[in-house]
Amino acid sequence: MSQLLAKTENPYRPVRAKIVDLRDLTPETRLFQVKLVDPKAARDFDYRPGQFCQISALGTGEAPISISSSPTRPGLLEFCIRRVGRTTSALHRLNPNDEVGIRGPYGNGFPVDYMEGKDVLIVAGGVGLAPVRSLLLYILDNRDQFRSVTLLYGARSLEDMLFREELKTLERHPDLNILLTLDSGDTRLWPFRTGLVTSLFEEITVAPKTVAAVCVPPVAYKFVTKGLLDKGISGEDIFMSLERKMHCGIGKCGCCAVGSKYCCQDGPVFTYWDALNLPDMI
Amino acid sequence: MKTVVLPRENLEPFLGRIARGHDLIVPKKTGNDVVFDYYQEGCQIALEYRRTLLPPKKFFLPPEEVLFRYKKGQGFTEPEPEVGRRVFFGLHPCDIHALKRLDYVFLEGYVDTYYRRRRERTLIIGLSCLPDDKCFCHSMGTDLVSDGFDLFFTDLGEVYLVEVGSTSGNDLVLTHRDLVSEVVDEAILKEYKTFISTRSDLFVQTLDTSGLSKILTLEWESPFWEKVAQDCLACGRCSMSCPTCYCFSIYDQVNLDSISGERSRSWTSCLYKDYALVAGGHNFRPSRGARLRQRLMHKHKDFFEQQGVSACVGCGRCQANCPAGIDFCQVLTSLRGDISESAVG
Ligand SMILES: Cc1cc2nc3c(=O)[nH]c(=O)nc-3n(C[C@H](O)[C@H](O)[C@H](O)COP(=O)(O)OP(=O)(O)OC[C@H]3O[C@@H](n4cnc5c(N)ncnc54)[C@H](O)[C@@H]3O)c2cc1C
Ligand code: FES
Repeated sequence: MSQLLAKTENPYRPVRAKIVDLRDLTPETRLFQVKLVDPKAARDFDYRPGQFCQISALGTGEAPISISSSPTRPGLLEFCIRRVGRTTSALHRLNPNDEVGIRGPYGNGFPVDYMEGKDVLIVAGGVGLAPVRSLLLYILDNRDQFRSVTLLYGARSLEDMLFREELKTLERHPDLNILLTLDSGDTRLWPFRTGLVTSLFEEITVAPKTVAAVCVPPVAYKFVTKGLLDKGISGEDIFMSLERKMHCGIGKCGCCAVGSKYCCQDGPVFTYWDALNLPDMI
Repeated sequence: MKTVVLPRENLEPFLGRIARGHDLIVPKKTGNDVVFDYYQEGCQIALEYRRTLLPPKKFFLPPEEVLFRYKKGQGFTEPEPEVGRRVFFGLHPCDIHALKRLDYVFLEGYVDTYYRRRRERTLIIGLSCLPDDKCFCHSMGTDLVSDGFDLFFTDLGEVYLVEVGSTSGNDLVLTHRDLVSEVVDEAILKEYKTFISTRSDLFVQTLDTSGLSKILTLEWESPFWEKVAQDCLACGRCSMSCPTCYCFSIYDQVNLDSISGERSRSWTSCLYKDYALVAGGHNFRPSRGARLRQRLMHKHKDFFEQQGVSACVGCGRCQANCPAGIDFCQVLTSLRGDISESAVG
């Protein structure tokens, strides 16, 4: 993995990046397309789906944000940022050509090599689509390496659904099975399903060698993992991207500790087996 | 290990001379307390102190420090690093062990630039001690120390037995060779043995650490945590005074010109309510019991699982500083079931 900085350099120093484009995905979530200012850094930046960066809004602070783009499409980095507090609001006040600071990529990411040759089931809820979109695009760009690919994605309402247009296009993709659902909503405008994302489990059959990638709100992990286990997926093959409070992103500040693991370094992707061993993980 | 002898009356000249070429940090008496502070001529060095208010960590990971100054369009620049050699005199074995624990955190994996610089410019001179009723380093295996110092002074009354732990330590001794003697005779050896055995008889507080990490794992769900936490004020003083608590948070401050500012970090505590709070108001440890448990679990189980040693070095500061008088050793002992639960708090 090529880090932005060599290990001997100050690991807290963000590098400069320019906002190339901004697009609203939902009323609270905006897609940031950014480019590293240093051309060499931009060229060398490599990452794995599921990794994250620390993004700085100058004068406000840093927030850990998953990389939503795929390393198979180099050049621009994409981040979906939901406005929830100080830093994310400051980021939302920025315009194209403004600068942000970036550190990373951090964390383990999804084990794409391990997923090769297997059936892949992706489960996402709300803004949880952000990290798994990277995985989805990565798989699409290496489609022959994977067996069947299914995405189950749920959002509260139509306007809370990330990448609606992109998903509608992908839905017609012959090599992808995409099931979308809204917690509730007007079904006339909505050609897909209503109900929680777990209700989609009834509609799918799971092949024996399936691996699952999950990113849902913290409260939903218990239900989603139970559903996946009931479908016969092994606990070791359920990969969950978890959220914790993070400050440093590099295993120093202690804030993201879950038992003997650091979410920022050992995670953010953990298996269900890890969760069984580490109390309070999900 | 090379060992020399420093007559007691030569200690002050020794430190005084060191202070001329280095920034010297010493345990100083202030009122009823002893604190680690920079040496000034004529200041009262506490040679027989029990424990300082704050541990040595503040000289390596300050309570608050600027990481970067930034300016719009120019990115982040580090503040000028502090320079010059420091000599830190008077660390007890527990505090030296604690620094070694901090080294695991800050020097392994990503190297923390700020911590490393301070660590590299500081020589450590250890000092022997006698326990009070809150010390339990002998239970944690940290009552003696065989590395992690440049010099270590054992107080034998008339003389200090000085262990030389590094070439830098050796250089100090050689520079001031007129103050030390290379002869460690039978009498001094006997004094040393007597000191060791007398000292180990003085411990009152104990903690049975056998299988502690496993017992803690099994007691995760125990209602006992919430019960103890009823007394806990969640003030974080145990963390601030702990020589191995290293958690910090990072934050920005803007200057009045609104285009420049600082990024800093400061100590935090897992006892604080918003420590594990994430977006959407979800708190991973909403109750005081869960947070108290986190602190003890991290010390005695999680760190142990990561590094093979406990993060607790038995210095007794958490108990000495807890405004609610929580006796953490007794909490852990109760979980083991050795004494009745009502004996706590
Ligand atoms: C690995 C990882 C990946 C992530 N990826 C993404 C991503 O791709 N997109 C994304 O949008 N987010 C992502 N997040 C979440 C994101 O990091 C947080 O939303 C962000 O850090 C919030 O920062 P802030 O300064 O805007 O909010 P803060 O100002 O810190 O507040 C955050 C929230 O905490 C709550 N809060 C804060 N203080 C209090 C208080 N005193 N009492 C009650 N509630 C309080 C509020 O509800 C607020 O909404 C990710 C997190 C992690 C750990
Ligand atoms: S965020 Fe600092 S240790 Fe993980």
